[in-house]
Amino acid sequence: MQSKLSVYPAARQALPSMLAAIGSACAASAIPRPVLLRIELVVEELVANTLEHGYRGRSEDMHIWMAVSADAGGVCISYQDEGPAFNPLSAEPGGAERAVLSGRPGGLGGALIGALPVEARYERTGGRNTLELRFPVT
Amino acid sequence: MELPSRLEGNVRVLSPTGRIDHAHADEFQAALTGYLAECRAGGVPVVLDFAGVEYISSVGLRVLMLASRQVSAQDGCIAIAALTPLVREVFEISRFILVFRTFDSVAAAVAALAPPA
Repeated sequence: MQSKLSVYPAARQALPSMLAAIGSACAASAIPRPVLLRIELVVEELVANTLEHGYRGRSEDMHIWMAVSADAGGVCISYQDEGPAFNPLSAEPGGAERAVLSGRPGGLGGALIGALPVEARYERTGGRNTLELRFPVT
Repeated sequence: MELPSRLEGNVRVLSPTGRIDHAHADEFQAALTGYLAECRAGGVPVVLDFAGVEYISSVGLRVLMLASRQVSAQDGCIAIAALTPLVREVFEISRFILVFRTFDSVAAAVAALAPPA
């Protein structure tokens, strides 16, 4: 299920294109809607995290890369940014609760990946944070 | 975003639909704002009927957080009812269930928030 990385501008305006790519891949493989919604949510939170914390508002001339592929068994997402090294899978236990009680709900991307049935792997290569995700269809 | 409103007794029920995400959170906030002013001590409690909301991301949670703070500062009452499966998961994972009273149904929420006769 390998597919080529597409490059997107580092901006919220890129999200519709990214979600459309995910939607197309999922539709072609008849991925159930609840799985699609979870993927969209994780990707939306990853992009928000990249823009807010990784690029810290200096996103001009910076990019996000994503590849999506799907078959009847599930959906694979490869997500990359060029922010400082950060593993979203390393979220501290209880971080979401502290964030919400402090009045700034955040860290939802990492918390979602940790809580949902997602296989995830992070590595830092070539100056990029790379997250490989697989959402199985059960 | 459309935000249908109705009164059940003296409780305002607001029924957003669809997605509260990066594209719709601002519209949801603008639509909600008008109803929050009356949600104060002695005013009109608000129930957010989420039966038609299939998706919410952290930008949507921030809108709810601000609403909760405003209502709390006004000594008003606000609650959310009828969470759909993904939204319930998001509330639980984000621990947003600590911010809002949630109810399985609008009827239960209205009964809990209705001012005593």
